[in-house]
Amino acid sequence: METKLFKHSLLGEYSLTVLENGLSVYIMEKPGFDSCFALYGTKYGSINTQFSRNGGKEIEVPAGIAHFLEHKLFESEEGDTFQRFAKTGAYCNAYTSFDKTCYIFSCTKGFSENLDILLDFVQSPYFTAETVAKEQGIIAQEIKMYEDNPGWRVFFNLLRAMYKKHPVKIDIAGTVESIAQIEKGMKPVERVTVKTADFAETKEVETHYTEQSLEVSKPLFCLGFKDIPTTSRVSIKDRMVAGITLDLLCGECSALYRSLQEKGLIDNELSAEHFQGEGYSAFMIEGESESPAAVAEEIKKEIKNLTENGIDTRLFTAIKKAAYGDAVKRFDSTDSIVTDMMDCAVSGGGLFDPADILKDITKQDVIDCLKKFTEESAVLSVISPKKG
Amino acid sequence: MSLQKIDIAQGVQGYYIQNTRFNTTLITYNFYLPLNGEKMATASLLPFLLTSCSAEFRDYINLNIGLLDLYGADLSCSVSKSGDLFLVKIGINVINNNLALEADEPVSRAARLVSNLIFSPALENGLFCENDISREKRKTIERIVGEINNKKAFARTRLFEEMFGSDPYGKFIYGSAEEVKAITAEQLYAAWRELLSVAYVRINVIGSEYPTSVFALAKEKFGEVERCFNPSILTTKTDLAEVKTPRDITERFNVTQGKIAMGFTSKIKGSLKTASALSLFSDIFGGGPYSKLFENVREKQSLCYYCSAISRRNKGFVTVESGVEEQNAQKTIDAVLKELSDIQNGIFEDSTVEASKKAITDSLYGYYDNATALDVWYSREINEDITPEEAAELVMKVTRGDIINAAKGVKLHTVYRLMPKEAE
Repeated sequence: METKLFKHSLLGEYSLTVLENGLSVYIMEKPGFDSCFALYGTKYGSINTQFSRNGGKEIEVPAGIAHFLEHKLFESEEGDTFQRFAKTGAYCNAYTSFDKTCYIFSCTKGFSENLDILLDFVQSPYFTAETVAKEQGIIAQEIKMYEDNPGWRVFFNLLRAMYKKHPVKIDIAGTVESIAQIEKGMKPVERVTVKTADFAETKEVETHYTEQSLEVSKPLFCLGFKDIPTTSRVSIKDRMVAGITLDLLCGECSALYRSLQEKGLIDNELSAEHFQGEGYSAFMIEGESESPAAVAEEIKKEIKNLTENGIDTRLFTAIKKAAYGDAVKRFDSTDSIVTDMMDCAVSGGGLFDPADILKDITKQDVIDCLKKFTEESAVLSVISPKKG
Repeated sequence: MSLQKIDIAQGVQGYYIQNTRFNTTLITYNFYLPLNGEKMATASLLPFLLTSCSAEFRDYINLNIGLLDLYGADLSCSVSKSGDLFLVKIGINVINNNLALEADEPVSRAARLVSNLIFSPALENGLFCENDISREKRKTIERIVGEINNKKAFARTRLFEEMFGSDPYGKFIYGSAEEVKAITAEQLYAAWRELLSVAYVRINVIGSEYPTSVFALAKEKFGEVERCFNPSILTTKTDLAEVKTPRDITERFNVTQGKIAMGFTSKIKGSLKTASALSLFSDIFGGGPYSKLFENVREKQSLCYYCSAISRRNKGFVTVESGVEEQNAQKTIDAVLKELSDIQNGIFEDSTVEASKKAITDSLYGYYDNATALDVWYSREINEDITPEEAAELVMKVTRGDIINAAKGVKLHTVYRLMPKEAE
């Protein structure tokens, strides 16, 4: 068992201990804070749908099972986990993403007691036919809630259009039909090997355009550019370069943003994200417009312009300065800190890297990143207003 | 942590909430005006216009570059209703000087920037510029028509409209698209002058160093304004009357899942000091996972993913929201009313009360770890200064009888159902 200490002259210090059983334990003390925040997470999410049970034959489980399991672990033989936390007053919750399942609690009192509850319930699964059936009803409503959420749909439709094989194309919660297949008597097994996501993706996309109609006031769009990471995880520097690149391209200070407004193509800000995880990476730009295709063309033109003519030094410097401020601000929130710790555990890197790496990022890094935004990798997803 | 108050001008106060645990300083200007239905659209547009450009930053791109240069300071602007008051909040959150990469004093520069946005807007011939007005009108109209995109929020907005009728509290805060289109530059200018002269103003600063320069700047700027604030605007005046027969409204949209929004009148209303029992009641009713609605409507009956209650004590009412299948809508409504009736009849466990008290007090003690939450705290309780610890003490004093009494004063007023079209 080894403990490493990481110190930053301005941002504090934290430790990382890898226990003999392989569990990574990150601890950061926040002097003066009243509340404690803990996260217990695992590299298991919606993309992990293939298993080898007890070293035996490989099986495929229904889509959405990681999210289903996240819900189910809140129950134990003694009763509901929420009742146990209710006795301490702690706030407790959980979430499932594409490649992670995380359980969290925060409290101002009784940290050790709450930590014991967290470790116990996550490691003590208890399922009955009755509780599995009950959860199917609750999660079916959760899925239906997201079916009406245009922001969620525009994103998942994009993934479906972008990926041919990678299971990131499957909705995190699965479908009402897929979760109905979950066996009523699902039982924990001693050991499973989670098959890692199929990385046999190429730059080629399933389709360049996808559209769905929903009850919305104006078309929503998400333009994505598929990137194939050279390693299973995108490095922290590349993630930061991606963030700066997207800010330069379509942030509120960009020439593109001004031009789209002046042309009447958008009224509100565009939001951009570098979406990445195990074996997947994509650059996404979202917004609302009466003419999503025209906006997409303008974005592509600006990418070409920046790649060929270079980027504005003043803006590049200002965006880096803001990125430093954002990195500093994350340490004001215990919630953000534990989320970042989990990202470090899953994707590599350290908590202080974002504040320290910035100085090494150059304009050429941004240009190199922009070159990944190719025509062949582009997908436009649109949610259009339903008529009638 | 300590609170220091200073008087800056007539009806303008500075609140310094010392907090050394953050890397940032948060400065917010909070303007309180009486709710006025006719002026609401203009009053809501104004702060977005003020925070989009200024005499110093003539357009939003220059302003945004200025914010990037302040280490990505977060400029925020919001409008909301607090009881019978209309609240405009304009704020900036910036990293502390000791964390700056160079000696460029981000805190005082941020204070100057936000002050210039409020007091020195971009004017042309003594009025706001037409281009800027048109841009902000388009954005506001987007907000109005885009409300339907979030069905849960839309159902809540419709419930409020139906519940409150002509009371301006029920009006959608941005007004209607037609009202926004009709706003003139003259009206906006008048609204700006009214904001500066008539509103009660509270400037909250949450940071590690006493904000001498922030308050001095505010004093200087308000010194140039003829203030005519009347303290009587700060007391809530209107009540929502109980109804004998609750209204039940159904509207149909192209959705997969239906939404239910239920509104209840409450006899108990007002500040934390007078309405702690109502807060505790609504938490037991439909707050945390120990609540009656979570335990019975979601977990036992598996009717929905969410079913939650919130008390809005400044105006004196309670709401319950849920997302359900249409065939389960009435069953859910009946289940909600059954849980309310149970609380009114004292059918709830002492352990639930204890769980609720612990969760609420834990959350209150956690306020000091979140600058935004602290700012909301000190801009919500404007008629009495009460700390989160004092509020926690009040919650702990609430008895089982107080909860039953609060529940007995809660009566169904309106049910709003947003349902799928296909089911017609």
